[in-house]
Amino acid sequence: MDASAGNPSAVNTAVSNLGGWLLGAVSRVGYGMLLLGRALLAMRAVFCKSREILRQMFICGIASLPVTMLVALFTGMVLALQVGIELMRYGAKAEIGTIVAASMCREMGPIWTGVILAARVGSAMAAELGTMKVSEEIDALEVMSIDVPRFLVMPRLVALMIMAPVLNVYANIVGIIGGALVGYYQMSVSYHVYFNKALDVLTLTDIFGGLVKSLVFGVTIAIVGCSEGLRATEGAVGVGRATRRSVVVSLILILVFNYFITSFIRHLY
Amino acid sequence: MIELIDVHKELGGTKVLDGLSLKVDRGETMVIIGRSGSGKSVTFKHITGLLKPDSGRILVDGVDVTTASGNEIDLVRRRLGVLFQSGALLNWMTVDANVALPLRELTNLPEAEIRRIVDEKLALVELNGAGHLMPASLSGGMKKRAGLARSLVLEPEILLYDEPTSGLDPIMANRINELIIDMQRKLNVTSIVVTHDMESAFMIADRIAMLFGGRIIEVGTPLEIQATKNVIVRQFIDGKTQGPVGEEQ
Repeated sequence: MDASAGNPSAVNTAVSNLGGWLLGAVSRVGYGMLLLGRALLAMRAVFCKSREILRQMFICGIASLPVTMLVALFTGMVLALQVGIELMRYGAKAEIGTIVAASMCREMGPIWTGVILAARVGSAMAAELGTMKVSEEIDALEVMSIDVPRFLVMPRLVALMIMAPVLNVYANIVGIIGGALVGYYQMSVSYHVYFNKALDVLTLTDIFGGLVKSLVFGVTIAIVGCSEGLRATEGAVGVGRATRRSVVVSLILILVFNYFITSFIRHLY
Repeated sequence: MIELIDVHKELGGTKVLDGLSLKVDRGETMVIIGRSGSGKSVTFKHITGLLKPDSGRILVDGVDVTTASGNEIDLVRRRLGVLFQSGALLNWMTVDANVALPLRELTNLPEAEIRRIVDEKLALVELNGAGHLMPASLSGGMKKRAGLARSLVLEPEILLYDEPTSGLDPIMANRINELIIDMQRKLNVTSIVVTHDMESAFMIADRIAMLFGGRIIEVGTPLEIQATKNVIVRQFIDGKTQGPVGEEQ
């Protein structure tokens, strides 16, 4: 029999650890929600911060474009390949365009864009703000009465709210083109048939659903990245921890939110 | 003008401040000395409102920053200029932009006027011509002087310095000391300096307060502190390894 099974101190420690973890999680969620609220309120000053927003849009969007395009291209290509092999068995290879377009716009485009932004941009936000926190720059801003959510969080949030959907549109287009290339060269499906099928299947709900998803993912990545950075402590180790946590939390939230948004959108069909 | 009354603070299970009380008069330069880890920076953060005490009061011109609302704390902070240990310049901005930051964020001054004030403050800390540089390319002393210029742009009534001479060579440390004295003479500000550099403390202080065991154990003019009979203060200013400070630690 396990010696610790009836040990009250082991149970106390386990309960205490669980309580500590829960308190930490609630505190983190609360801080993130508060930060989101303050950043949304600060959007009244969005035009005063246009220069910083443009700088962040470049960092988040333009600089992420090549890797997003590359990932989307190969996602579309592998989708077409896998689906094409199965469809050819049933003589339905013309439907490749239908499946690739629907998959890219409904799921793969928003998800991959979110994953790339979480890994590339969210982590950088956590590292940048975390470094500012541990080197007293955030303290300096607070002591100068400069509103940190307005000065640092709002421009990053607005930039991702704009650039995540934009990148998603590009990812969808490039992914569908990737599928078309595989369909044409490996499955002998003409471009005309492929794109006709692709356009037939897509509805406004698919397109706007994908855009709503990427907007939600953009907000999630910005708030998680900023809040983890602003809560960083204990020097370089703390910044590393904040960076790692921002990626993990963002990815989990992207998958969870994706499920619930998809469920909601299904009711619209 | 600034009064800390029976301030207690525990951090990570350790009692850092244990009934700290101190009064700083208008226009004087008060230097708080103490060993590393004695709670000097924690005291500094309490005065700026970055930390809240577990109990006790901190009055800045009668406003209790421990219970003040966000707007009231902002009003108090507008009257403070703070020099952090590292300078705390924003790394992605030039020195010019760093110094202009409080003016651009908190005032509606025209750009030409901001430019004039920035040039004036950079000249005051002898950084003319360095405005275009990025913080990463500055020496430690230059970063502190740029930080000081930034803390001066809103014409503060109270200046707080956290370890202003730490990590600097003796010549640069003396240059910073002279700047602190200059600021007091030219601008007649109230200054609180947190340091463990005794040479600096004796040079710039009107009064020196020794922080030990979470409370102020002695306050006096530099001459009074130099002549103190308190064995703890004596050991600290003489830098002796044997004595009650080591035993307490």
